[in-house]
Amino acid sequence: MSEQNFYEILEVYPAASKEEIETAFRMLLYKYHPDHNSEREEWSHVMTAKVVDAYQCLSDPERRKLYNFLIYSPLKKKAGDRKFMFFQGKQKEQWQAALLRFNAGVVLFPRQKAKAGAKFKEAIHLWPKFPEALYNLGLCLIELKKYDEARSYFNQVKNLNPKEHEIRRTLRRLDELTKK
Amino acid sequence: MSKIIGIDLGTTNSCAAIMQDGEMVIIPNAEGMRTTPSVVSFMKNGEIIVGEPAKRQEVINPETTVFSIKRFMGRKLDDPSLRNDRELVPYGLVSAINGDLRVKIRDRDYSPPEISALILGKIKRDAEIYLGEKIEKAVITCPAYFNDSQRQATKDAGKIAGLEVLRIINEPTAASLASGFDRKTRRKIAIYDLGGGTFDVSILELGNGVFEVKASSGDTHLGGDDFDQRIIAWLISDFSQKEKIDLQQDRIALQRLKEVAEKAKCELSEKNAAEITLPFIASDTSGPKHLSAKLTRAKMEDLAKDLIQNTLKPCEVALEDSGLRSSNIDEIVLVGGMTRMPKIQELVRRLFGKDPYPGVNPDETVAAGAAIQASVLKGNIRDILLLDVTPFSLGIRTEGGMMSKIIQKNATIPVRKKEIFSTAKDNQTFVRIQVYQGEKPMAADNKLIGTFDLVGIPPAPREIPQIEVCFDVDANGIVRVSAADLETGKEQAIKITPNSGLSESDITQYAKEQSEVKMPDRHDQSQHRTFARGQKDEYQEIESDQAEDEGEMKKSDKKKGLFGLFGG
Repeated sequence: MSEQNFYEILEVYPAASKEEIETAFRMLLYKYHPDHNSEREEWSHVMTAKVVDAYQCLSDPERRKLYNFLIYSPLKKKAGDRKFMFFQGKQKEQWQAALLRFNAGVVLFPRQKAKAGAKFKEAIHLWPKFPEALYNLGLCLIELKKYDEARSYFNQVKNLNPKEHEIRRTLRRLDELTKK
Repeated sequence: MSKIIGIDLGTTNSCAAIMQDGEMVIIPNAEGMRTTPSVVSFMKNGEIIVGEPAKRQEVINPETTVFSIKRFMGRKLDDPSLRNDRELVPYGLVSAINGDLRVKIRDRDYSPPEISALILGKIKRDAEIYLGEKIEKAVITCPAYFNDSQRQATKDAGKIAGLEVLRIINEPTAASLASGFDRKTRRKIAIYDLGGGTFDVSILELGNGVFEVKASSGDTHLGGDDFDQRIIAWLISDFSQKEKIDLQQDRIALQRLKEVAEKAKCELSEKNAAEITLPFIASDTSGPKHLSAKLTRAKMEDLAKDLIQNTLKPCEVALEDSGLRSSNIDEIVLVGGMTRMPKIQELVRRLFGKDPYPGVNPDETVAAGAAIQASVLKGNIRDILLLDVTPFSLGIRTEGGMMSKIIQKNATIPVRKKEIFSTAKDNQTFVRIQVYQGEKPMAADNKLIGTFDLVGIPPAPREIPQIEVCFDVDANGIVRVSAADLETGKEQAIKITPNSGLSESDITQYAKEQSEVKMPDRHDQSQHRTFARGQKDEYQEIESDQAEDEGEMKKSDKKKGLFGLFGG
């Protein structure tokens, strides 16, 4: 099962107003909270924690804006499998080392943006033309509110793949995000 | 489902309550009082007495009469924060093998949860007599600023007393439940709770019946006891000036002073001056000496000036943590006997710029709140929900001895947070997870609440293995930590439950001992006298007596439906 996003957890539309989010949160609390579910302790604990987490993000306008950005520009979880076949010797080792860092960054990303960013940076250091790592590092920097740095990494991705539309869209959304 | 009572297990007084047919009932004790002094006295003949009669023993048998045990719950003997508290009490304190504090009564050491259990045991028995049925479940309150081991110790106390503790809830939060707000309108509430031994302040937001705690702060070593001590110190110095006799050395004199100091303090909430007289307090070659003094309200306020000031800081911290300013607060609730002091009411009025919410009984509200929560857990109230926070940050020790916080203080509970850590050395096959509680950046400056090892990590270069550490804080505020190696894919999780220092077998043994110990109710109504726990026949006999006496009440028990609470 793929992970639910915060809007799905709170059972609201992504365009929901602050009041709608608040009401949904309180209704779901009555449904899930351990106080009202004495027979299903573990389940209600996990569900309540999820709802609280989602609510705390979406009820904060600043955090919600960032979160929306990430929903439409998700993390790249896989790095070019095809390239791997053509590398040999030292180059292959170098690529594998970079890939290891990249994968570590992917695992860290959901919870520790700074650490994940460091891993992607290491991967880029080992393998500079690594678009997925460059893109993911950009996402980490956005979470850390370093928008200009993020933009420079996205531009590097754009230069590597000038024909890709997705990265252009991401850059456009970043402009919207930083626009006051 | 059997009845669930709410218990406010206080430092100086305890109180029990229950919701009956949508009505709040404060359960009177066997002496007919609505609150029970949290005092336990161990008599020479092996009898253990609790409550008001035990309080009378404070003067006669200071060494074997235990009061203010709550200050020592879940603590080590060498805990630096206990330095003042240790001097406060005339009974002996010793250390268990693991450093935990114990109370020494003659040749037996008692853990604080055991003493608390004796108090809970009396409350339980008195409630059983009053309600006419066996009580096995309870919601117990504790200060919001209690840490994990103090909470666990409170839970253990319940278990030893033969009570299943369904929930531990925070005192200020409980108070907010029972303050009688119209739950439909949104508002922000501040609770200022100054009890016998602890001070708590909580900021809450209320909406749709959800009581959401935004922040709480406090001081677990500040309360009415400290105010009494100031008066005692003043009386002693006054007496030594007049009579050149030091009362400090005389334990019995000290206990008598404590008694009158507390009384004078209470009087000063109503009057401008209190007369204190203690005949025959000491004697020298010229004959017996009598103590007589007049304490004015102004003098009292001067003696306790810094204590009152000390409550300001936690208020400011809680406001700051909640992101609110004092002017944003819609209601302010005063809880705890000490808030009757005019000077404290004045301070609160000045701080928040408004009068306290009227009609709140500072001694009974917390127990009433616990009873409401009990009713929620029972499923009788469906339109109230408590959403509390954890008062401390939680984290693990990482490289360089730093504290890596996983759960920030004032995080809403229940909460589950996961973070990923790695190894510090190449081919490291195990990691030690050390769980700390506190706000300081260095782990060693915080409180270590648990340690465990995660073993069997496949050899790999440093920083490559991914170890997921998962923190859970349940609705009781009790912490659970597990760790798993994501690399191997297998679920290799270990759970730790930080404890109060008592093992499961200790608790079972103490529970057995307490159910057998002779606890006479040597006072009042004769029908109560024969009653002792664990003696089933006698129990039933009393129950049937009781049913006759209070048949009216029993009938009304049958009715259900508590939705009409507060008429709201």
